[in-house]
Amino acid sequence: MSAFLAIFAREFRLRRILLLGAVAIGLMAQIIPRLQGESGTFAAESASAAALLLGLLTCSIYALILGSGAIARDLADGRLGFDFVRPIQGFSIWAGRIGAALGILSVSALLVGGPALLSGPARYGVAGPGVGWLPALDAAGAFTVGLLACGVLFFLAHGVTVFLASRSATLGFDFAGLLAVGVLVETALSRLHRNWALDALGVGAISFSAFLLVVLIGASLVQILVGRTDLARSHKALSLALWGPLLLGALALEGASRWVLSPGLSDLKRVVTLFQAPAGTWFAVGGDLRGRGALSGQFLIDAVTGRVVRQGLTLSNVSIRPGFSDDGKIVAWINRLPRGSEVRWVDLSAPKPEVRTAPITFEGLAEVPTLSPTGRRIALRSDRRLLVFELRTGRLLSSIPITSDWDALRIRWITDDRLRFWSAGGNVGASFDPRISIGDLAVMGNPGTEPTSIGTIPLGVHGYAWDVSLDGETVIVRETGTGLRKLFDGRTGAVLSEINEAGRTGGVLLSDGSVAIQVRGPGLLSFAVYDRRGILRRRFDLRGKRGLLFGAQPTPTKILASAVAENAPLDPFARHLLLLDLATGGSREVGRGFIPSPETTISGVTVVQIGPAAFARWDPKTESLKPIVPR
Amino acid sequence: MSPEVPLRANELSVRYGRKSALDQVSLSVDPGSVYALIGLNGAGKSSLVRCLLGLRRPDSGSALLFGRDVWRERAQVLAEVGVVPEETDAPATLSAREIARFSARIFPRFDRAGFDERLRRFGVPLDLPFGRLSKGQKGQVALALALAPAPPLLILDDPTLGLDPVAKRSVFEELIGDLAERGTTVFLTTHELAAVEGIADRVGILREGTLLLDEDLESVKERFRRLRWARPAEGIEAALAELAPLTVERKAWGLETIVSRFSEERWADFARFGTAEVEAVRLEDLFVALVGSAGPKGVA
Repeated sequence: MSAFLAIFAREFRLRRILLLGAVAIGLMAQIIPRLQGESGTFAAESASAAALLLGLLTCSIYALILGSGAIARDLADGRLGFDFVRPIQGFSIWAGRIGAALGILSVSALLVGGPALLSGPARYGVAGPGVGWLPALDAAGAFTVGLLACGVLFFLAHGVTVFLASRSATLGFDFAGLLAVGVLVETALSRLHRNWALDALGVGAISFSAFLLVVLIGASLVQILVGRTDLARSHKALSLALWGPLLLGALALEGASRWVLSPGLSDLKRVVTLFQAPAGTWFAVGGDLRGRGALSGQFLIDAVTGRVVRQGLTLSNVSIRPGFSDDGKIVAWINRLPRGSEVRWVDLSAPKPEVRTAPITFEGLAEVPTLSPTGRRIALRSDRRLLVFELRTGRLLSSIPITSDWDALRIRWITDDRLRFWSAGGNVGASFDPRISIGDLAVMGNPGTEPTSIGTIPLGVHGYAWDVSLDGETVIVRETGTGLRKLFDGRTGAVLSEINEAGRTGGVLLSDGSVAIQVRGPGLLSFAVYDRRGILRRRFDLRGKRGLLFGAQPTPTKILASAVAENAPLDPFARHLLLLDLATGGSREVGRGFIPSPETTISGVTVVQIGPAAFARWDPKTESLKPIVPR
Repeated sequence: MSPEVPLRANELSVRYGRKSALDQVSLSVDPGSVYALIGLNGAGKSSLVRCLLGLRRPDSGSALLFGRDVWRERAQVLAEVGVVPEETDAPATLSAREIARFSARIFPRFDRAGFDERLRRFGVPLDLPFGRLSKGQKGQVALALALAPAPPLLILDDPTLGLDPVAKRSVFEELIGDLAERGTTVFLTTHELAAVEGIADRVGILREGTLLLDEDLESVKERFRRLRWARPAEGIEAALAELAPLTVERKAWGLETIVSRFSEERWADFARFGTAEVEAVRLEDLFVALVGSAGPKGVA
């Protein structure tokens, strides 16, 4: 211990001049903002930010100087023998020299950056492409991260100085090690970045940096204990102790990144979205994953066979909305990339369905992917244009400008050569004349073909919500202020009817253009079905329940909804599944579960969520639930 | 093997890549004696010293100080050893006084007063940074540092290399003084053959990693002789084989040889070849004879 302290004191004394430099820089950071005429809180914050930045800069430079000077330069110059020919343990030599250098580094950091700890902003955010995921840090956190980074820099400087001074054949080994580790780490981290696993990217980068620091510290100790004053042997020991563990660590990171990005359906812990194909037996689910942070997994599942295809991964607050062909055999969706978007698709009728990337990419966002009836073509919106492509070849078939706002475009294919679109706009800009424009577009392969305007639907000035039935024949518009609903002919824009249902309501278009409205209010819960003419067909009185949610329309005359008993908690899995008979007006409970975020009223199969990640198929013949067993 | 032997090398070999620096070198130094190891530059002296100080692990064999493996127990063993390295390597910005203060924390028996007194005697300023001292002064500081803890064993690696004659003399005088006072065991490598003759008890000659000679200096002086005949009789060169000549040179004035197996009994038979001059061999002549390009591989 006394030998360690003797070396520590000697080395600290040898480098104490650096502390004077740190004091001078620290004073500069405090004085300059005030010399520039700033005062009060602003001056304090400027000084604090300057102190933090200068502290980081100073520590980086000091880390390089001290890292290369603490041991490596003496080793290279043959001066390490001064300690080694004395009765001092190798560990004490290493710890004394490294400890003193790190002590100088830490004290310097405190002298320059310390004021930032005391009077700085509460949090320092890190922004910019690729690092926006980093959490904002408080001053102490920023200081600690900076100091750790300087620690890595310190030991890297030590290692590089030894490598360059030795210039032995081991350098070849170092280059190979650096290349292998670098490629593995870069591959792993960029894979996580590309696939939105930003939490895992953060954890991976920080964990590997911490691991790198530990390995660098351990390797420098091994180097001193084994190589002592022999530069070539030191270099060899350092290289072996460094690259072996780093390679294992990089392989572990690579393996972990693959694990993060290859979740199975069993890793789904909570389903957030569920989309059902209009025909066939497939449906898509997406939700939070176990052990993957803020990463959402998306899966396609065959409700009958239990076959699962992994669609991809997104940030947990971004869902992948798939578009199905009419027969439910082709599914396509927009895959968001860190820069831009691309189209992916699956042929679900293939013996082994697999995800393919279509040769269709965008620099920005793309939305509302809609497949033609056969699935050969895809229409979508990107950069304020409605675009149509051949799915497999990526050939552009149509490109027309649209003025609709965010999420204000609906597309319905009539045939593979013709589509109709409803574009809401006009509530921005100088003329305040909100309306839905209805257009027909012949998709004949000439991108310049103009659409034919076939009608408009005026919108209220008080805010509205609207939707189009799957067959495109009915448009429903709800004024958000009054709750008044208007039905329009989707082909011409002609008014069909008005529905004025009391209470706080929500509603959905059924397969034949009828409207199912959930009527909720104090002591009131019912489910009303109006036809296109606005005439009430049925009203289901559901008093004694609450939290009514529309589910699906498994057959033209049956509706599945869910609700909980009036006094029961709104636990999604405590929901009772209700079967409402449009023909008779009867209703009954048929099990537990619900259908999250229903998008269509017509689907090949009706899928009910019966657990956080468990599903059942509604069998219309037996009117019962059949569990889906993924395989 | 006795644990009392202060220094011992057992079949010590060191390689740098494919090049052999030491080839199975064995030697030992008795307590209180002075062992001088001499050899040309690159003969392997420093490699041997590095092994003896635990700075380098031998590729085979072992280096023992006081019976303990110095590679394994370097820190414990070196508590009993004073070292003067070939290159003085103290931190350049520390003064001799500060270096002594540091050393005093490492060696419990470090004699600060003795250290100061010794440097005053050498005329070395105590408060000047080490880096600003002359090469001779640095060597004197290194020697003072090595002697201050009064170690039972001193290892000196070419302590006079690059020093001026005055500094060289002061180093050897200091050594002799210390030997006289305390009977310290000394192992030194040097090129100062004349000085070695004055203080060494035993001498080793190293050539290209091989120990050619490892013998008491008295014994060396006893069995090595320079012989000269002005007009030697026929057949002398064949007869000289009995005396194991290191060199045989025909010169204009006659014949000169250095033999390694001289004895009075054998010499009596050489009277028949005529009158000869018999001279003791200086260490320098012997070194040249052994290590020179034409020298033999070994004389043991």
